[in-house]
Amino acid sequence: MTVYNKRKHTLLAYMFFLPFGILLVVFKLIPFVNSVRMVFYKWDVLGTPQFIGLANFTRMFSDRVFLTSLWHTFYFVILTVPPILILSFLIAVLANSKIYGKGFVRSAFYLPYTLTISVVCLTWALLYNPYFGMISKVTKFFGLKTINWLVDPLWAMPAVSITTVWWTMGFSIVLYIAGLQQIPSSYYEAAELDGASSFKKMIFITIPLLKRVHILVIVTQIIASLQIFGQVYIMTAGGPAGKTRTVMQYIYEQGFRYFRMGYAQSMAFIMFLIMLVFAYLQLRLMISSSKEELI
Amino acid sequence: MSLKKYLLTILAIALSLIYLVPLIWMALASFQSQKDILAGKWMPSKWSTDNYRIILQRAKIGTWFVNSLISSSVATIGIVVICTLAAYTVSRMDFPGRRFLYILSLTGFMIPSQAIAIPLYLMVRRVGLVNNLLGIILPALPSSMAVFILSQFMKAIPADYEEAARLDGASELDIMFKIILPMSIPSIITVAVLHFTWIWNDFFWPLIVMTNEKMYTLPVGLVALAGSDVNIRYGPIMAANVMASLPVIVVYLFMQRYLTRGVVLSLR
Repeated sequence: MTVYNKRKHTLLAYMFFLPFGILLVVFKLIPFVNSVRMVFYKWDVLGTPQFIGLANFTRMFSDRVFLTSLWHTFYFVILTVPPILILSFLIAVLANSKIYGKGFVRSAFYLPYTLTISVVCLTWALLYNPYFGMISKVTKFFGLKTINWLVDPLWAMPAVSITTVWWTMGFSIVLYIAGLQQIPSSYYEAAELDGASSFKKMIFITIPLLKRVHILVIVTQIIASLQIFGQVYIMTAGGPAGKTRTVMQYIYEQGFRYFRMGYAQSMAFIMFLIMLVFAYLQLRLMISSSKEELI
Repeated sequence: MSLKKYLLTILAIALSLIYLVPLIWMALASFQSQKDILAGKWMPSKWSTDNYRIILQRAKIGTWFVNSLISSSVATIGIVVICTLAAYTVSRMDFPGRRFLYILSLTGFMIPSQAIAIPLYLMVRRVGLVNNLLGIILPALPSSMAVFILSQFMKAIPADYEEAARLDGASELDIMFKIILPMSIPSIITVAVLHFTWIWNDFFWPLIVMTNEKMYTLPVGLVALAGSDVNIRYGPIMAANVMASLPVIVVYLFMQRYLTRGVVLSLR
């Protein structure tokens, strides 16, 4: 290319990138800079923001409601990530085995993931109803005690977690199926020649070879679960007695009900720091997994 | 061997059907009277479309549907145009600063939308975009995920096509519009389907930005509706749920291939 052409090429490149670049700066980077700035202010929605140094953070760590909501968020992560990891792996193995109607099975397990959170939670709220809900029918059938799921302090968070697992597991199943399809069948054939059982093949071939997928599912699921908001907002509104109030729910209450924007943003900043580690891991995994194969 | 196949098939189909029970119940309940639902019935004692009539009369569900449809489709088109251009630059063009722009375009990954929701809300409010569909559309446009998926795909297209075209005297725009973009259509559809469903299903942001009932999106409207009246919570809300889900299910059934590939590509 001549010098003139090269310059033209560069100019064209920047022009192509410009719309995205401007929008990224305006709607992501500037808000991000502001989000960091806001944590040092008492920033109510009316009146001028007041610089208060680190007071938001000292307040936060003596705020029992914040600390319990942080624990509830971690509790939700613990209740959702392992079941999703194990169940989606098992279902993917089943959906990928030699069966008829593979397409139907896959669609069935992915379908809930395409639904909006409101539909999922409003439907499950009725399923959990202790008087007429289907779940109490099932527990009664098995002779178990009827639980008032969303109102019982002990069971509200597990109930929200079950709904979440049902709603989002399809995503991980798809990842696992993609991973399973990349395992060369020669591995299994060799194992069969050695007389390995199905169980042994699973333990010594399938599970170790899918290491990258396991990590990916864990990381993406932790990120998603840390941000839990809608399920709690819709199904329990943080109740009973604050037992399902997660950090995002508390941020919403502080920021958009009481308009304590500075304080709410300080909590959002702590969540950002926690998620940063996982977001970085996810990005690294994505870039490397698209270069190589999934497994 | 064949017996094993049949048994596994039965197991898989049975589990799939059990998995779909909440959705099947939702659909059945939408045709039931309140009495049937409170009695915990499976089948409606009399199939009736009353719930649909009630919800269409009482709620602004049509308006919410249109709000969701406009914001999701306009944002999706915008994302496709803007992010395709950006992805093309960082993956197919060679110029000083290319690497910097690529890394810049991925910074969105490190900033979860909820981490910047409050300052973004204050900004949107200041420029008067609260209760305006642009308040949903504009912040959705710079999608790092879209640029990532598209650029990964475009990178994989061999340079031979481009070189041959250049020798024939094709301009940069020719190469982009006549060679690379047509070859990238599968990834463009993937990006479009993924973002459409994400924006259609988003809850937190529209809940914050839309405070006027007329401007609600479907997910926000449904929840507000359920909270507004105890009596509507059963049959009518299930009818609303069915209506809200049908478009996404239809899109999913037609676009399944792209969507599942998108999941694999995007890894959310």
